[in-house]
Amino acid sequence: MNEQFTKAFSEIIREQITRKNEVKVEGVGSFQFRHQKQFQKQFKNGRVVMMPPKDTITFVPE
Amino acid sequence: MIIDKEKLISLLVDKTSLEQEQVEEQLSELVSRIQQAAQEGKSFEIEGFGTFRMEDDNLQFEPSNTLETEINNKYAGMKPIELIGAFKQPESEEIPDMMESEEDEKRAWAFDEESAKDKTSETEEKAKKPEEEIVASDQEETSSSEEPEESEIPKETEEQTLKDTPSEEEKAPIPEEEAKENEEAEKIEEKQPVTTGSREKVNKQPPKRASRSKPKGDPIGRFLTVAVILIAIGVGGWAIYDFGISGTQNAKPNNQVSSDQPAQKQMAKQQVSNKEITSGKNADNKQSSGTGKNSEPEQNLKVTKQGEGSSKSKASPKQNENDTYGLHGTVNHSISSGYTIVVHSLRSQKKAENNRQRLQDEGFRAMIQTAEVNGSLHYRVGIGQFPTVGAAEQAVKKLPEPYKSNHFIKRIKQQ
Repeated sequence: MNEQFTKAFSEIIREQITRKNEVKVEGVGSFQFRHQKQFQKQFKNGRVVMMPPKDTITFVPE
Repeated sequence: MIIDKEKLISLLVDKTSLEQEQVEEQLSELVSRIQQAAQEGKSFEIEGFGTFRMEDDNLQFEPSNTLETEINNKYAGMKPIELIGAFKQPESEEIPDMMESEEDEKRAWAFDEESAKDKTSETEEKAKKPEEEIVASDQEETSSSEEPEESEIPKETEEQTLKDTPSEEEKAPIPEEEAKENEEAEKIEEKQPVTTGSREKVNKQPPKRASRSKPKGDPIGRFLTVAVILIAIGVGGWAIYDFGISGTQNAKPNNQVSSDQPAQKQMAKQQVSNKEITSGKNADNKQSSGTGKNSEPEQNLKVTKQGEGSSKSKASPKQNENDTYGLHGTVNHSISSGYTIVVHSLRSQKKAENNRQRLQDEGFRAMIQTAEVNGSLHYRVGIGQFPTVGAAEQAVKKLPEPYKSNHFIKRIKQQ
């Protein structure tokens, strides 16, 4: 397992995730794209903030 | 779209310079190493990608920072936005430390004291204000109509500030007592939510500012009142100077409307009446003949021909008053200024002449004025001659209906 391969592997997963594709890696699990909408959040001390939206990668194990 | 193993391998082959077999080999090695690490409970990190680790018999993946930001690049740099409007006071579950609350409330007390001082000093100033205004209004009888309204305004504001100050003073002593009696701390907290949190102070500021801005607004009002008083004094002084001291010249109402034309008109009258008077002092005669009958003979005494001059100049004002202006009668051509009520505006001179003749027959003082409207010549049939617009409007009320509602008042042109 050389460095070139791991680099290519992580790059491909990143590219496919940003294209909103799901990547299945047999024996490990699948990587998925998830979008989090903006939402209001209240801290315990009463401060209320609007959290920005964000895109995330989630991993679902097999 | 789902990228399965086949597609993943083909993509990897494209990406790397490796053969497909090598790629498959590498991938299976990677998977097996991840599984091995997971079984042993170790974490397996791929640099620039993330970390796999076992948590609760489940394989978990935590993306690295670079991967996270690269995926989230669309929303990169967005930060949480504070929603001030939705801010809610925290429930007073947590009882603040006594020492801290004391300190805070002392500070608050000092702050209140300052603002209270400001307010009291301002109220004192305001208490003086109305007196001055009353004095001012006494001095000037002419402009007294403006004064009462102005003097009322500060009183109201004074009342407001007076209302405000006691409430501040009521609040103010509380913290002192509190320092002595720790038992009441909770009650006072309910009244005065000055607690430990620094953010709460931030939240407390807006109402403070609101109460402070009120006295700031008042100086503007004071300046306004002062300005109005000064203007009133100026106007009053001017009025006194014009009507009371320097004379009778401007007492006639029509002179206020137009200054130069009446002068010409008077000159015309003067020429009619004083033809025989050889006067190097024509100017003096003009001034006095309009209104001052008493001064007239004295000045004429100095002139060589006394008797004739005085008698004729006495007669002329009467003529002016009786005959010059009016709605009925014949047109006085010696008048070169004034206003008329225009009841017809026609393009045909013939029709205009007919209308004028008809109005003349009805007893109105009718005349035709020409005016160029939008490039075409109009013949305006006007009735009456009036010194002022006000007089013309008075006369309009007596007119028969078609003219009463459909007319306009126009300055008589010199022709």
